[in-house]
Amino acid sequence: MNTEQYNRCVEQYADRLFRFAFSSLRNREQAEDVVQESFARVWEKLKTVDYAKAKSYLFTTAHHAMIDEVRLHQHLTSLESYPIDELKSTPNPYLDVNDILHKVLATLPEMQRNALLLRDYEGYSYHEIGDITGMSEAQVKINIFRARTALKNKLKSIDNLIDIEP
Amino acid sequence: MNITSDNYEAYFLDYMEGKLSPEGAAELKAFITAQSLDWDELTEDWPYLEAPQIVYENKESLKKKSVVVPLYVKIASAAAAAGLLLTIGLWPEKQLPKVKLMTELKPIETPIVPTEPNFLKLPQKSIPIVCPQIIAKEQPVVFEKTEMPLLAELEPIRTNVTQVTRPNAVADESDFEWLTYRMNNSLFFAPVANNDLETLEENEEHLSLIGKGLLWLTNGRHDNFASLIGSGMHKAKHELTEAATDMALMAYYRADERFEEAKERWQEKHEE
Repeated sequence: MNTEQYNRCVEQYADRLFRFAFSSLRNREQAEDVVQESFARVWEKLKTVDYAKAKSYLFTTAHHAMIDEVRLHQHLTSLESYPIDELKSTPNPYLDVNDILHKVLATLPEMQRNALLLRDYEGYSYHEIGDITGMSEAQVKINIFRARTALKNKLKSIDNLIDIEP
Repeated sequence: MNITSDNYEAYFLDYMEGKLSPEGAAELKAFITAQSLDWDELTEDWPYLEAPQIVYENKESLKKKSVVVPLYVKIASAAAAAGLLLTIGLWPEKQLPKVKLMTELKPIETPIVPTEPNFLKLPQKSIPIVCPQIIAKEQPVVFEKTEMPLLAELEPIRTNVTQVTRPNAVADESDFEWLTYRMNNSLFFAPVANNDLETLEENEEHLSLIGKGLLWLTNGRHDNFASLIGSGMHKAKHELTEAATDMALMAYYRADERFEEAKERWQEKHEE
């Protein structure tokens, strides 16, 4: 890859990479760190990274950087309780389902979260997600199944909590 | 298909995406029913995320400039190389220039302070020659005093701790310890007393001396490492590289000569 192709990668993938990181981490600064880190890695390996595979390389780097971020910031991000509690305390019947899904997404284990985001946002195949996350294809499927099931169950529990007038 | 409790979720996902044969679907349904799971409940309202439109606003800072070599330079270089080869090829062996030993060469002083003025501005006399691998970065760290997290806020990013004993680095003659924080490719560092971050916060004398050194080193921008590190984190994380850290560290070492002076000033102030 050359400098021009690298810059093209920035144009093509920076938004998507940031969206991936931000949706998973729910923290703008950490997400920016991840984006910068990912592109810095590509720049370092410019000669060896194939332009055609740059997107996968970026998302793979971002995935690992996000896992590091989450582990390092575990005490700051009590992801297990925050969004649901918030929803319980401030029920908003006009909250968009997709917004709720994204809030609930933050409560999922990171591998489930990242696998689901790669699938739904980027449309990666299970095999490709496996390459990015280091999981087998079957593990990817199981993680995504569990993520969707958890989202569905939590949506249901929120529906039960929020009394929406018809 | 061999559906088990370990893999039925994967098969179920295939089913939901229409990738299972009718026979496979029947087998899966039989398995799930046998597990006392509700098939209808499992298959209803399968949620999918809709990707939001999010823009990363700092794209330009990620981009790199191409180094364009003008054609005439390429031609000139090629000509020079060709000329050199020709010359060597034609040169009689005994007339070939001798290769000098390293010890015969006169060292060329390589300035290690970045040319950009935004990083730590060091007086020329304090340029150390001991670490020539330090390279000025394309984009220097720009420290601003607007965002200043507490030092304690940095603790979560610590992945390894390095202690460097530095006798005489501080005026109280105690050993000087550094905590090194690593985040991604960047190193952050902070001095601590008794290996305890909170102690550092409380140790005003310690901070005061360091602060004076830092004020001097950063042209008055920073008077504590939390500020220095914090702004590095939020403003130019990816640029605060190991090299830059080494440079700051060495600059700090070189400030030792000023510490006696700083200490005296501090003592005078507090005695008043």
